[in-house]
Amino acid sequence: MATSENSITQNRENRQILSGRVREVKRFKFPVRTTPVGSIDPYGNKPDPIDINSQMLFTEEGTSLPSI
Amino acid sequence: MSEGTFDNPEVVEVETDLLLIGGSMAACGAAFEAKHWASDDTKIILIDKAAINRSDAVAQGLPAINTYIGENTPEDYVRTVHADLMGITRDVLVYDIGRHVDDTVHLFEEWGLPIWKSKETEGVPLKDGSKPVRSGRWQIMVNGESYKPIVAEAEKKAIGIENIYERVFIVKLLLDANEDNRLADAIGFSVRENKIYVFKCNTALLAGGGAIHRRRPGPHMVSGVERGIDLRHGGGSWGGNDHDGKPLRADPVQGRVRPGRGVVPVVQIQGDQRLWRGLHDQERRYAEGLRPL
Repeated sequence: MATSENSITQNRENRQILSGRVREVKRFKFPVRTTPVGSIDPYGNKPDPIDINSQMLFTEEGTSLPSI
Repeated sequence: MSEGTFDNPEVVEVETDLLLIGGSMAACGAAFEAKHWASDDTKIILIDKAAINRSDAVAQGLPAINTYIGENTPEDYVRTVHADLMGITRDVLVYDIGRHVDDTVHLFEEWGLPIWKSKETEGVPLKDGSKPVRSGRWQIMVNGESYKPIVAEAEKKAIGIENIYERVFIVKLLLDANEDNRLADAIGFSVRENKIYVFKCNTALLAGGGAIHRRRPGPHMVSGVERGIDLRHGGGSWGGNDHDGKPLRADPVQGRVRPGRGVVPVVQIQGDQRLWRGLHDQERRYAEGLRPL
């Protein structure tokens, strides 16, 4: 019984959200990001450009990938 | 925001070496890869019709990444995609996407995307052999609400915020007058101000919105601008996004895959190389009605 009641409540909430009657900020119950906003260093600890004719992406330098 | 008048618009000319049209995962990946290989004085510009933080089909966040090879092989991936799309695939491209996709997923994790791991390998990064939680054979589960903002942040930092033009909608390409099949300009308009933009470029990557679900608009805005502007110049699409979220969906990788000698002008991809990946009938009719130059 509990599950079906929950799903009814959930449905009602979903309908209200969809119809725009509920305007509230979503609070996530799980982390949506593991690093602080603005902390990404895209080229930090990445290899220098070596061979532009290589088929590898630059972050794949030194690895071996399967080829046909 | 300017008043809605019909005065002559201001024409803004911008010169660049590499032009990335579209703020998608593909363009962000291409910006990240290109900036690394480009010399310091090479200018890279990215244009988006809206805001890159919430562009692309992943704008609203996704619960899963559609493809992670992991314990599978690229051959398995090719078989799945080939069967899934009734054989209308270019298997070489699919293979290439398959063998490069994991590296890009590892970057997402490094930048902050929370990826679900199995209990025994919790806390271990994917690149160190952690076992992701799967849904089906190819998907891995993530807490993906901030999927796009994370990738956009890396991209903004890579090419610099001053090189990003948001709220500019590209509608037309111009070819070079002297050299066949070479892209010279992209023309667009600002959706907020009375301005027309002309971007002069040496080369460009067109990663605009596809024409998927044009019959029935979906939650994400699909303008069809890409099909609309590149087919006019005989250009074809490669590495498109499968609208059902089937395994070929690996956009960030497609942008980063380098075809041999760096980035090539997209309009050089000719008719015989077209990748007709199960287009809707309507879309196909539209394409056939447009004559290549």
